[in-house]
Amino acid sequence: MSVYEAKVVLQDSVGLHARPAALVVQEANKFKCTIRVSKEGGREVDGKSILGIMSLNAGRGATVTIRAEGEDAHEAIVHIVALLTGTLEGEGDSVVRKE
Amino acid sequence: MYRRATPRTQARTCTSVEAELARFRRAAAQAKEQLYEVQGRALSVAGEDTAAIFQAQQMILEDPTLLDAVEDQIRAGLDAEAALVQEIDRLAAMLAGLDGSYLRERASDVRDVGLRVLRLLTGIEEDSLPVSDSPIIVVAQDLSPSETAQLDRSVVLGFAIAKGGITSHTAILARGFGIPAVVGLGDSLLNEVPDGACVILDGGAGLLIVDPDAVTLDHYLHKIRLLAQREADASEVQTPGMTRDGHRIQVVANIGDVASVEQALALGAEGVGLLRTEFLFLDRKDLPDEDEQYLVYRALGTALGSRPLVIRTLDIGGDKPLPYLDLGQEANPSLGFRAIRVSLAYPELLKTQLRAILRAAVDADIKVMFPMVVTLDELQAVRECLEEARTELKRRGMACAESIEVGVMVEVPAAALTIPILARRVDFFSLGTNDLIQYTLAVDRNNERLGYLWDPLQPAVLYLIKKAIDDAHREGKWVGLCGEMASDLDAVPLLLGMGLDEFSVNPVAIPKVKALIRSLAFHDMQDLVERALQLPTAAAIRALVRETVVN
Repeated sequence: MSVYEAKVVLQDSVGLHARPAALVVQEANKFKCTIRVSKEGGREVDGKSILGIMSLNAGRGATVTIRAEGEDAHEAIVHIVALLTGTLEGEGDSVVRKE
Repeated sequence: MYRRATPRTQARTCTSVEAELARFRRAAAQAKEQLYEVQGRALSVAGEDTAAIFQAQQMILEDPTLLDAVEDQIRAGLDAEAALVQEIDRLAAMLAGLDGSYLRERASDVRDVGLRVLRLLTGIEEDSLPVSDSPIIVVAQDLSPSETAQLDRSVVLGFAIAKGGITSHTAILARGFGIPAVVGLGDSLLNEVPDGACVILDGGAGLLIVDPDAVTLDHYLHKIRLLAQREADASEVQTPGMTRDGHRIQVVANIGDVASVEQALALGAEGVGLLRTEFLFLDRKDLPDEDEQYLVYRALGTALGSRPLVIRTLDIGGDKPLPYLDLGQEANPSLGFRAIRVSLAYPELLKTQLRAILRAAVDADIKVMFPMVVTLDELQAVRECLEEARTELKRRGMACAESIEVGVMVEVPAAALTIPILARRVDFFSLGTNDLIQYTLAVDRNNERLGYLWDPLQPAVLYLIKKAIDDAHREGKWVGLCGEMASDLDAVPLLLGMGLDEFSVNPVAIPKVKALIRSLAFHDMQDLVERALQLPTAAAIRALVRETVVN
């Protein structure tokens, strides 16, 4: 079982609200693995739940941790990090294999 | 007056858990279908941002956080209605309890979704929103996004509600659908407005005027006519620059400060063709640092979205003294130490600006343009500065644009005559005709005694511009024009016929330039240019233009 984790500082002007939240959830739902998201050491929410993501109340500048667990975990986390950072390079390096 | 009927949940004799689960799933699926339809309607009428509200609502209906919780409650013995109401209340309260007005508004989305499912469960049809044959203004405690989207625009002129803020989805929808609305008028609203009263809704001022007197009514009737006229003009303004026969022209703005960009966009600018950066440097005691410049360029890039922004590097000379930079006094400033000549003498100043531009260009369509370039050597030198600026940023680990379009302003006949040489190191040209005309004719435009000489339609000027455009196109480069000539309605038909790609004008001139371009056919203007260039004087050329074109 592969587990990957990435930390991302949110740059978008509204953080993980509204559109970005919806996009992350849509992306997460494309993958089989479980995806958990948390904000700066707070509680984890389901990355496939828009209500969960919105309840993080992660605004601009917040650091969120994404944890993916399952066979397509690496692909999932790379896509979600890319979505959040708006780039497929750079911050994508922050993806770390945990197990 | 509209009062929403909330379906009552009645104690029902519970059937089997499985049957309740099935009822709930069916209602949720139906609600999703309805929302999908509303989303489609919103997309075609109001655009993507508005439609996204209903897409988000569909996602709430697919959300395991909600669905699993409701189903758990049903399994624990509640009926579908009670389980739904309980979980919707819990989730909405949770969102409403978080910091930030944004999330409080999202709580109302959760409630809107819940209400929709509840109506389907109880079989109570959607509330009948006010039905009327004559135009009405809806006054209500609150309107949900669903209700707002469903307002019959043929009779509902607008609405006023007690609840809501400007970031509420109801307000966003109203803007998206173009429905005049005033929100957040306070809970006493319904008591203060009698049903059937004559009211004036002023969305701009956030006013609902009940029983207006004759003077107020007249004032507003006049305003309505005025706005209707302006709207008719504005709808034309936002169409892209194009000739009658479909030849595409970019009409962009010249700006010299941050505030003008909004005005330019409102007037239909398709981008900024010339950002004069002098405003950052004048009227201050010290040089603006890289970060300060970066923030300004970035803000402009953001305001422009995907539209292009051409930034001209500092264009300064002995005639505009800077307290922190002694350029000395010169006998002949316009032929002296100015523009790129100053920049190359103070490369750190230029590089600071270039670093700020490269950083801002990461997420905006920013191009850089150098003023008063005359030779290829100058161009090589500024190119080297640009590379050094990029290297410095990379060394600092900062994001910067990997590639950026580089242009030069063609302001000196020497440049206009050597386009094929300069084209080796540039991506585009912008004709700076204010200077180009002055240098071509050796006339100071401000010298009143020489007024008879200063004319953009002088054959020499037109020959030079025609040659420059032809040469640039032969080298595969695009050409803009950012002098006042681009908004001279006698010159526009000729520039169009010469194949100019971009007209960069003061924001206020954009509507008239676009309107003129729209009325012309590209092929006719090519013929016009051919005939005009055979005439001996500016006056004859002007007469020909005016008899060919209604401008």
